[in-house]
Amino acid sequence: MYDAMAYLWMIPVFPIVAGFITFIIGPKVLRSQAHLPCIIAGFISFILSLMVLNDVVKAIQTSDKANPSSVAVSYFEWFRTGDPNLVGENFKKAGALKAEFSLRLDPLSSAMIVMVTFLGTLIAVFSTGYMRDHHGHIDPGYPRFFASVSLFLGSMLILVLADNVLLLYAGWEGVGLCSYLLIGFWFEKPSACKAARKAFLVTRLGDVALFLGFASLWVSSGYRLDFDGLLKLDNYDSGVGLACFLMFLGACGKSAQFPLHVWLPDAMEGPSPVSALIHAATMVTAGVYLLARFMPLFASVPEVQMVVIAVGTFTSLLAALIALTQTDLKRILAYSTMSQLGYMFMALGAGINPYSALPMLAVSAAIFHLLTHAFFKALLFLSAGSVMHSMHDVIDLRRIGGLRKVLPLTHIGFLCGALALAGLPPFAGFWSKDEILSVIHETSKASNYPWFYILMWAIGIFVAFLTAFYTFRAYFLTFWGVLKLPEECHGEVHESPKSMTLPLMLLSLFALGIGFGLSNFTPFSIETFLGKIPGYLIQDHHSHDWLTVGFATFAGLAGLILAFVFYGSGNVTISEQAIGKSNFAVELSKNKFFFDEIYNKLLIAPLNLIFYCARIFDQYILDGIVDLIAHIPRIFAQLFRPIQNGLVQFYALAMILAVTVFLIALARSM
Amino acid sequence: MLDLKIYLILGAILFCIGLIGFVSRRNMITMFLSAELMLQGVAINFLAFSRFRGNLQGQSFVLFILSVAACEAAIALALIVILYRAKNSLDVSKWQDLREEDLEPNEDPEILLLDTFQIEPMPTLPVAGHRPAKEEDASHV
Amino acid sequence: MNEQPWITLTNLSLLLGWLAVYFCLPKRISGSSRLVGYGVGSVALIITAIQIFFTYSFNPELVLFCLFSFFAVVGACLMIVAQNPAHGAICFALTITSTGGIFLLLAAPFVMAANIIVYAGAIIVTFLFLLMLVKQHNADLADSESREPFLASFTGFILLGCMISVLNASFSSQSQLGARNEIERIVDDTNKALSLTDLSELKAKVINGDNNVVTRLKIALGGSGTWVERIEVDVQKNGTLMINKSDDIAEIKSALASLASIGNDYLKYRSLLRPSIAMPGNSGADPSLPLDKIRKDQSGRPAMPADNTTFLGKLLFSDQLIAVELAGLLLLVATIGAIVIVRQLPTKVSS
Repeated sequence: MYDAMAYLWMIPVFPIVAGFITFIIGPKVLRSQAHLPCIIAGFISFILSLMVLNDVVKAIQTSDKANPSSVAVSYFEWFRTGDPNLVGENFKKAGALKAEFSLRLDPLSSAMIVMVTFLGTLIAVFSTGYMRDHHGHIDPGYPRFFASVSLFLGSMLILVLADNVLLLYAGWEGVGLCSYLLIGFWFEKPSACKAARKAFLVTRLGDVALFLGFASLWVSSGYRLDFDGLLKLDNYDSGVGLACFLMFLGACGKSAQFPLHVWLPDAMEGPSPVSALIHAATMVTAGVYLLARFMPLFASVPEVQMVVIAVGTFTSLLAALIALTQTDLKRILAYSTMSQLGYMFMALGAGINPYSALPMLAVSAAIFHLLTHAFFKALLFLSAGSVMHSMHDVIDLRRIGGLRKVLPLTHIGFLCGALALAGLPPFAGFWSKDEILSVIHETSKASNYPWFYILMWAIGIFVAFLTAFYTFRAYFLTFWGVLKLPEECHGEVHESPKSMTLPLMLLSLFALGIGFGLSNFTPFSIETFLGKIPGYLIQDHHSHDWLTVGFATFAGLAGLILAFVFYGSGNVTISEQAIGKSNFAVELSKNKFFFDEIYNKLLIAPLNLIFYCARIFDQYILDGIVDLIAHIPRIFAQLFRPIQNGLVQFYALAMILAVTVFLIALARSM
Repeated sequence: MLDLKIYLILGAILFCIGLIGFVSRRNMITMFLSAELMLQGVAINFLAFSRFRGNLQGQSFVLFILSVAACEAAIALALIVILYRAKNSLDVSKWQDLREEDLEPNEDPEILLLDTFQIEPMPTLPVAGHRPAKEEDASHV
Repeated sequence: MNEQPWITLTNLSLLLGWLAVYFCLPKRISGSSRLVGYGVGSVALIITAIQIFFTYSFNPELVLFCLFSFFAVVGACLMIVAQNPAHGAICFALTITSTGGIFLLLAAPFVMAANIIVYAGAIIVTFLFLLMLVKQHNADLADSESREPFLASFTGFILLGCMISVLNASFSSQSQLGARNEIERIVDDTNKALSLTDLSELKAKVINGDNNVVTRLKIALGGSGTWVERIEVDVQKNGTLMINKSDDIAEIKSALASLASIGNDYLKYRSLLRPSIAMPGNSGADPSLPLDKIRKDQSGRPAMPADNTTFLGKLLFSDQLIAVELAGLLLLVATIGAIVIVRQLPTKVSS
């Protein structure tokens, strides 16, 4: 453990340095090699992360006091405010705010950094192929892309490794900024600009709540910033509930939960690798990570936890319903991301009693799903990107079809991802989804409101069914049926380059194996691993909830079969007839439940009215007063301007007149 | 026996006459001579003080005034030459570009002056080495 | 403030001078106004001459002064009214030579010579060359019309009137010479009295009867001028002090000392009415000296202030050496600058 601390700081620093290097010398020096710093730094960070993980695993296995499984180290003092000796008694502790650049290493953060660096490097490799056109010419913003990706990686690593809330917040904002840069990467497109702005502003709402949450945490914990201090329940007087609720709002913004979910589908305007990296695998999971990190606090306020699980379930159901009728491949994947994030929040909301094993189970289920989802969703997005690349940026399901033969490798990748997402055994999603539903089932037994959790559990199963259905709908429509190519292809199509298909294959293996690999049946069980985070109680015996497993598997299979019945031909129109046209429910789903429109009418329109009034006030009243004041000197100046007639002799005359006046005054006084 | 006052008054008179000339005349050369006249008034002032205070500081001061006046003359003459080249005139009123931009230029009505009031032309020397033409000879005095 | 009448001979001649200059300045429609100007100017000069001859006692210095200043002023006036700049330059040369005479009267022969050489010899000649260079074929409009002749001459003469009235107030009259001598005596007496120790003797010297210094000082100052009034306030204050504390010798002595300092200040700053007796550098003799006391040279003739050049040189090259060097540098820079400015660019020739 202590060896790891020596090089832990390098993990976030390498990508950040690489990002700045690419920003500076990328456009002029590196040009088409601008991906090198990003990939090299990502790879080095990945190796370091593996070493760190190895150390953590060793520490867990030995589990003695001298080698704890959770270590925080402070590298340097970031800033400090105030002097405790100078401020008043009431603010003595508050005045001595001291923020340090300190990193924390424990099972949670080590698992996260391995996932982030691995996927980041892989997706960077994929992007070297994706960001070129078919003739191998690079995109004009090639260096900018890799610089942003690099900076994003660094920020995400800081977020995950931070040991105090201020540093965490810095990483949080860093990923937000990089996300903005990458969604708006093709800023010539107005829709991309709009999407970037929307994402930035909507997540900003959450960020404000998050900061307020941190502030109230800081106050109610007796002015502590580090996690050791914050996670000790004895430190708190009151106000934990409010702080937790505000932090949950922040997590909602970043992780696209209702009601702040509207930005995620639009964020698909960015390049597909970005969607894979940021809006599926890493950044959107920051909210999940945050809640997992603060799970002991959340567990102590069951009311907030009920909100968490309700919001998670609702989002999950909502996104799944919307995804049913979408025709844009990437958008379907975006809604599935929302849905799966809702799943993770469901799991987190299930941890209700801090003095039982439930919080640990909830965290391990959520993080387990986070990890498996990261892999298979990245796989799905990269496959979609590969399709998009081959189809010349067309991913409308009505215009493509039957690609099974022409894109064989992509087809395999997408199929693996879809099976994993649908939660069919033995793919990754099956194991983690199963965990989540089991935890909810478990919680319903311990809670005062068992019917509430049972309801959540039932909806979860229903969502599993929906997930399998819409996933395979997209799969069948893309890959099955008669070969259908858009006009942009001019009849010719070929598989993507090696730099794109290799990561796909690698990820397919992971999507296949990681679920079983991390489950309770292997020595690498994530539950045992995460259970070693200090402060958690571990459940000694583990019973498998065969009921849940059965229901969930059946739901997934049912969805798959239903999708095959409707869409097995690979043709939309036939199945549309089967469902029935102009059905209100279908319209609702197609239009994303009119959330954008509702927000426009309810929030933006009144605000616009206020802004209009403010503009009128500013333009005519405030500016009028200012202009009036500004006009007074001008009027006076108008009187004296004719004096400035350019004749030097006239100036001399005026000067002499003035001298004469002074002289007369002098003579009179003598 | 004269006192200090009358010398100072003489200096003041010369100074003020120079001032009037500087302010009212439009020929750049006359303006410059007027400025030199003002310097003469000041020089008389200094010398009178020197005489009546009983030391030589005033006289040395006048010597410095002389050297500065010589410099001034050199520079001013050079400037007058290039200004003349630019506008082909010695009229200082031709240079009023520094006025406020929306003001009309202060132009003298060029009325019929040369016709109505016969201003005698300046005497000029004929070009050396050429026999002047008869008509020109008659027109130049 | 002193109540002087506005209508005095000085103001009258100023008014006439203004009218003369105004009439003589070239105007668009001049007609015969120039002749009127000459006439009025002559009247102004005659009035001024009469004023001078009535104010000052007749001696050769006065005659010379009047002669030189007449030519200087007339030359200056003709210069500023001349329509032809060449004529103006000649008139300026007349002024320069006349001021040379004034310089001689002021015991500055070296400055006179330098002035005439530099101005009449160099500057005027350069001007005439310049006039030839710029070669105006016709009289320029600029020469035949002045800018604001009325306002300019009015302003100039108002300024002159102000200066003269200020000078009058400062150096009020010839009678102040007597006042100065009296004040010198009073200060002398007061200083002597300060060294006495016996109170009655002191009183007899400076306080009792006609010997009272306060009264004497008042009479001596009693001429005119606001400055004198201010001094009188201080004098009165010390006089009152002496009467109130007439038994205390220390108080009386301090009052006397401040009276003496008032007198000294007056002598030092307020009355430069005659040339200093001790002229260093032999700039000239004290005009009040009898002829036989005047310094003689080896051959027995009255020594001209020829040593003036020697002493001026010593002064310039010792005390003011840096200034002299800087002036030389300035001349060099001006020479180079003039050459650079005039250097004609080929493209400008055609235009």
